[in-house]
Amino acid sequence: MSGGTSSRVSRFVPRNWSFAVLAVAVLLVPAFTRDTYILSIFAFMATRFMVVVGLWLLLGLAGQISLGHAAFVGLGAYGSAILVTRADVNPWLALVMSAVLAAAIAGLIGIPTLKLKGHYLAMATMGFGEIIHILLIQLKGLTNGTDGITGIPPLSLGPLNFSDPRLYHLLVWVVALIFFLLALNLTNSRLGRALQALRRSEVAAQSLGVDTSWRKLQVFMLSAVAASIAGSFDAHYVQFVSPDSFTLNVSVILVCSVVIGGFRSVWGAVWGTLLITILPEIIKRFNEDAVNLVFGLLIIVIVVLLPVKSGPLARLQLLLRGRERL
Amino acid sequence: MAVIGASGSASTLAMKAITAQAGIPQIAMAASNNITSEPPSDWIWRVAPKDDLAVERAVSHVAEGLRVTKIAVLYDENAFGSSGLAQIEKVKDRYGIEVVAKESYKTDETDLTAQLTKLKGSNPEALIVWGTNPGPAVAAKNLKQLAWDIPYVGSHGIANAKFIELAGEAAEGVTFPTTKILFPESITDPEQKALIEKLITDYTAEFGQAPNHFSSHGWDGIAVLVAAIEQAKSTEPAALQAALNGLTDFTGADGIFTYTATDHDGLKVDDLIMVRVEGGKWALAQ
Amino acid sequence: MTFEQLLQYIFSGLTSGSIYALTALGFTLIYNATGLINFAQGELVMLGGLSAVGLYQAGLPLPVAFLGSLTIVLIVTVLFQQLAIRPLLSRGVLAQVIATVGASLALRTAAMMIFGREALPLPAFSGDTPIRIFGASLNPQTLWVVGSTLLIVLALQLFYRRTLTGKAVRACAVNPLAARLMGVSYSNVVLLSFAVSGAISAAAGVMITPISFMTYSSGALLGLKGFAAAALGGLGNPVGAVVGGVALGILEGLGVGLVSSGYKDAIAFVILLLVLFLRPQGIFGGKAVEQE
Repeated sequence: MSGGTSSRVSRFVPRNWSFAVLAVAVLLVPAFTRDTYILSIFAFMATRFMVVVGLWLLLGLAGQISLGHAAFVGLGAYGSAILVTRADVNPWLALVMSAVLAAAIAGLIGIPTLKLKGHYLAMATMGFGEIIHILLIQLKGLTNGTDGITGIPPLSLGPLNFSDPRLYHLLVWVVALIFFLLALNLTNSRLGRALQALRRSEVAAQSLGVDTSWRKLQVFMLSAVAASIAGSFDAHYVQFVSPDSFTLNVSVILVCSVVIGGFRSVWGAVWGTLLITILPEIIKRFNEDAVNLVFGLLIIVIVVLLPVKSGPLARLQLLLRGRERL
Repeated sequence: MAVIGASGSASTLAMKAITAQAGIPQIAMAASNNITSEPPSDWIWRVAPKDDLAVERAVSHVAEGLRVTKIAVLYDENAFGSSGLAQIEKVKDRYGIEVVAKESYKTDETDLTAQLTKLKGSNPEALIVWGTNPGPAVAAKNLKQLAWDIPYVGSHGIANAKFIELAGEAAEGVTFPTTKILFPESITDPEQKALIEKLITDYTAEFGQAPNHFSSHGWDGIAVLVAAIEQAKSTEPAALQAALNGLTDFTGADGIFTYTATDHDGLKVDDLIMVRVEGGKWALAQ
Repeated sequence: MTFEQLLQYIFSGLTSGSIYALTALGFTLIYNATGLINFAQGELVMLGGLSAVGLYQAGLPLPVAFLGSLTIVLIVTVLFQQLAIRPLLSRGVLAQVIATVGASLALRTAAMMIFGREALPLPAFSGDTPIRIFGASLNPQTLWVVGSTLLIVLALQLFYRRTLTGKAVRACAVNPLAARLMGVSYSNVVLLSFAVSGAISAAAGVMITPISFMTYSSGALLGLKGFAAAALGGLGNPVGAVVGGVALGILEGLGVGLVSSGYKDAIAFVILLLVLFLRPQGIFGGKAVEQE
């Protein structure tokens, strides 16, 4: 379902009981509530989780920055919307096709820019994101411009109709959890270790035989695919897409999710998604507009304050976290 | 029994799915076309003049007020501006108008001289600019800068002080459509005139400032509902629906409302007037 | 298309091009001193414009508002540099990008909370009467913008080549370690570069507001285009920054005039991607761009 990675999925080690707890807790939610509002929050959390996990792989594991990931989500959403409503393609096939397109475009962008310094990739992905946003608005014949595309049918599989919120919850979270599992295992796989080495020192990694360009490209494409699939699910859930959902601001908030959640492990993606969903609700009680201000300041603080290089604070950190450093 | 809401188009659209499903009449005070043009629309009526009506009023002003036939259109590429252009294209033949050139701009575009230069090349006799602040203000300034002396007809989106603040001197001479509450002297129907004058007096006494079109929408929202209740002699939703659909020539603050089963907008083009900016203030244009 | 029209497209391109040039210069100054790209550069321009509006609306005369806004942005920039940039200089690109992206988000939101969401105007420095040249009109404010750009570039060149401090800054750009061994205070150079960069961006913001208003969200696009201009001219090359900026502006103006207005912004991004893909060092050859 994810496509793009060539690493073998390692055996699931039993010590990951925390994953089991998460999976059970999340999947049991529909058993406890039928409230459509709560279920809709969970539905959006699931797709956002997919994107954040993918972005974590890129940002947290490989240390590469994408400021245009909303565009990949948009590719998935609009890809599904257009193929299904205009060309009568089977929604599942459309989902896969959009993901393939996203992977291809990520590859095209990645090849020249992953060679360059980090901020070049950031700028290139920013520029790419803006171009996609403009295309979504201008190619009116294809995308219906600012009015967006309506009437996207909900997903269904045989007898199962996913317009039922509880069924949809299960579907989307199963997919999200599969992504999470893949990511968990990726960290321990060859690709994962190669990426961690690369993040520390690209030169050192290369001298040890790591094909850094290819590895970075792989993870960039993988994160694009995750984003695209999330976008496709959203399109079928909301049954409507518009260019407003795929802006630079969204991309920046996605990066904030990963940073705030933490780079340490893939679980950062869990915390990040949770915080991005819950923090705004809390902040809004004090001041409607301050949400993004808090996010912006938060990521500055996080990145400046940890880890600290020397002094008692640093030693404490080393103690708590092992010898990992940003 | 019924819901009156909302002032903004986005909220109205969000609400109407719910009221339609519950079978409860909703009286909206918002202008977006798709409130009544897109389903579900059986349970929603509006008292504010819809966007398309404002467009048509502008076009009729060009044809009958300015008496020219060739126009250029500068429109915001968002939904508001694009639907404005679409409506212009739809009604132009009825008024004998020809669109010789059209250019779009991004909503927060800061420089429209290139677009205007392009439009100028087609030699239009009037310019319609369809968008909300700040675009039209930029257009006004750029027009002055290009020293292009062409009549500027704007949308109801610039019927506010913000436009004059942004455009400064360049706002002089700009016209736009709006409801009659700003200029009660323009009202021809004596019943409506009396209503508006009483509204202005009572409102000013109560709130210390003159009412604007939001106030008149609020008045009409309630007035229309009350009229329907009196007509139906009941408050059952189904009866109200029938009564509203049958409401004919009802005098409101914004105009004379006539609803039918298929027309839930109620107002006509001449319920709107054209206003011109003169000396930094508004004056009746005609 | 007539000559008149062509000239008009070029004039409108000159106006925005000068703002891109100044923003690009801001990028360049910081890049030369620290090797990092300030993703909040556009927000500094925006802050300059909005601060001036705030001061002017509070009753201060325009020139005072201008200087006041420079001061405000200077303070913000220096604070940011001391608190966020300085600790990150040894840390690596990822942290630096995240910090400046966070700063841009924070500044943008703060501006929205302080100044509101609407566009805000400033009166033109010397009036609105357009200047007619060969049938096309030039906004007198544009002359202010272009003139200031030229002055600033000239001043920077003199500074770099003729003053000791300027040479110290250049030394740091070439080899910070060697410069420090020679007694140059690297941290002071960084501080100075940020300060000047902030001041230039703020000035650009104030000058453009009479022409095209300023909103809390104006910074994002400006920053992107400023970077595209800097990359086009060659990152790290001040002359390249200015040439890149003006070139981008004129290309945009011609693009709208000759092709369509919908894709105006795409021009900058396409140029950016082309430069990054085909010739990362830009027209005049910037600093090293490869991964180290």
